Amino acid sequence: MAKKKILVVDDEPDIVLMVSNRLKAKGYDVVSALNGQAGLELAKSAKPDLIILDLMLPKMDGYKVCSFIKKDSRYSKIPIIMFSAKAQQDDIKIGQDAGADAYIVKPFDALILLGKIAELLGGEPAGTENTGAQE
Amino acid sequence: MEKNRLKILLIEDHAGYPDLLRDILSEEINPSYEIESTSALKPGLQRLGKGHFDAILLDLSLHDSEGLHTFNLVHAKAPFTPIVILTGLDDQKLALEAIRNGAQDYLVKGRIDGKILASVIRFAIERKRSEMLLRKYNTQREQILASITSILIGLNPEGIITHWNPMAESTFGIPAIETVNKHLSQCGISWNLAYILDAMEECRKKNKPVRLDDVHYKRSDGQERILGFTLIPILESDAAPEFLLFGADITARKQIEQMKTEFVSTVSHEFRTPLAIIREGVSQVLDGVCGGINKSQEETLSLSLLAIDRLTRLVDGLLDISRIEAGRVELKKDLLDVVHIAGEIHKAFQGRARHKGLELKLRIPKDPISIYADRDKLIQIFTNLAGNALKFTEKGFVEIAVEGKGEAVECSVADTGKGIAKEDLNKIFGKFQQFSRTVGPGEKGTGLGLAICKGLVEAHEGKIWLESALEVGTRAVFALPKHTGVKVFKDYLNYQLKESVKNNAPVSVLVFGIENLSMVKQKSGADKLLIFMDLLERVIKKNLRRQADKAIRDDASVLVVLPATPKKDAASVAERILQMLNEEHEENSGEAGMKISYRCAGFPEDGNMERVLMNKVLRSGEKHG
Repeated sequence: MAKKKILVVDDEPDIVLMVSNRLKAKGYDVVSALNGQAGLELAKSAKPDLIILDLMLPKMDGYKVCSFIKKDSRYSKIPIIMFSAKAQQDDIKIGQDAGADAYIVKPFDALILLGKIAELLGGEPAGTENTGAQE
Repeated sequence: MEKNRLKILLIEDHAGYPDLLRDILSEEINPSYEIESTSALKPGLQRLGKGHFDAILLDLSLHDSEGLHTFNLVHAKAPFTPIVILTGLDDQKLALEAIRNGAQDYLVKGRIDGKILASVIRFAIERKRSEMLLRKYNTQREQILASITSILIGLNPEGIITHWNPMAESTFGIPAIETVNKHLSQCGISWNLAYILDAMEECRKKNKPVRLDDVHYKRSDGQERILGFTLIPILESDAAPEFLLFGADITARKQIEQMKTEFVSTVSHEFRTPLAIIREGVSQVLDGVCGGINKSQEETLSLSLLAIDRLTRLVDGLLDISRIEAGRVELKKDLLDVVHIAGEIHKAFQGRARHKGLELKLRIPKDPISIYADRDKLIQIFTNLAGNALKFTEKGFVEIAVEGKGEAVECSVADTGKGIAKEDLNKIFGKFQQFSRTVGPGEKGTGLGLAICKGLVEAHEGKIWLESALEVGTRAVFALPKHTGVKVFKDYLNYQLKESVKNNAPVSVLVFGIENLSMVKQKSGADKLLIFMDLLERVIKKNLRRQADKAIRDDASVLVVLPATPKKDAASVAERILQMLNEEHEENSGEAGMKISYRCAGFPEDGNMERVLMNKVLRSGEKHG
């Protein structure tokens, strides 16, 4: 079975690095972008199976990226996890309104993030697994 | 101080009158009277300029002066001396007018005897003395009021301005003469008047001061300002209360508060990204993502991870606290069953309790208790208290309880921990207060939990307290007001009524209920009733089209507010609902014999009082259906 591909969009390179490490360790393919516009383009060209999307992004914010993707029938089925340092109820609500499938607050628990990804990808954790979280 | 000789000045132009009075008063000894007399105004005024008199007897018709003018001149010359007017039978009206202008009494000439004259003079002196005293107090009061650096506005029961102090003048830029005797709505200030009028109503009802924290107003230069007031009821026997609106321009304070909240909010947001990087870095090493680690490295990193999580909770807590302190807790209120929520909390903490070897008890009534509250906040309060109890208890049990207490519901978490010393109990809700209770390994507190609980409970108009005994245990209790559908409905109706009265638009109320409720309950049981109520609610909501239309369900009735709908239109909506209900009821092979009816009331037909309208739909009033 082919590896699942995940797109990580975050303007903080260190977050992108950390999340990518974790995802790769779990056996996912990872592509990434550092701003909203690049993220949206990559979402179209790289055909990821899932998107992890920060909210506060330069060039185009996460809400906009999310609603663009969710409005385009070609991509609307790609699950999106909003990934943000904004933890207030209102922010989460706005994220849901934009069509996000899940909302994870930073700092995050990798177990929860991986669980959510697996759930959204239909229960199948990943292609191959080398090192995993202690469960 | 009683003198035994009183000096009287008589100003009167009939020759012989002075002797007559002297004669009349001659028998009075204690005090005795010394009468000096002049026959015209001018010498009278001159005489007054020279020496003190205890009282003046004054005829208003003199050959050099006439009428009230005479009195005014004498009064101006001797403002502190009591004046008794001497008048003819046909002139009493004039005398009364003089009294209104400051004279103490009057006597009808020709009807004077010694006893009367003496007592009139002495009463006049007494009256003048109390008047002067009163004036002194008044002046003092005025001076105090004038020097107060707060806004002070006096209002009569109808909302007419009776007092407008200099601070009010300078704050609003409107002098007292332009506001006093006008209604609050006509004093030329653009502010949220309805808010103040509401507070007056509340103040009248509760007979207690009411705080108005956010009165926005637009200054004449266009600047938006914020005022903070306390509305104080002033009771005089059983008359309707007058009010004092006491407060200040708190714009600067509000701005600082806002800056603080924004600052904390920004900081807590900015902290999260680096925290996320640190946390994920540590946890990747711990999880072996970066290669194997030994036991000692694992222990060290586990401690780091706990500390990172604690720092995260602190950041969250600070954000909560800053919102609470700025009065910016936003509550998303819903009707909730607090009994059910307590059960959920009990379930959620089972694992932790078992892990620590503690029994986790649950004591709840079997019937639901409704409150009107924010679900997330309620869970936050419960979680915090239960977390504390488990953290500080080493053996025994923790009990989560809910208990109806009249109009309130008391929720509590009790433990058999070490307890808190009495002297610490009142400090415990402060920020960063952690006492000598030692905590085992694991999750550390932030010192903000109880302060946040207090803020959240108070935002719900509730109370929170701790009961504790050393070595016995602690019980944390919070009481919230019970809320029924009817109460929530009344709140909404009140709001809509006010809007409707303001816009001169109609508003209607419908209440649907089961007429033979007790029989239905007995025959069909509570489950069937619940199913039917669901249907009723669904059908009604299907028939409400506009956003402002609101249906709220109570135990066995559904209440509906239809703004901008005349009563007769509301009745046809109700008929349509009944018809659809009957159809659906039959389709679902519902219980036969259930009699559904509705009652209707409306503004303006039934007046603009929520109480009257509610009475009409809840108890009396014609039934339809």
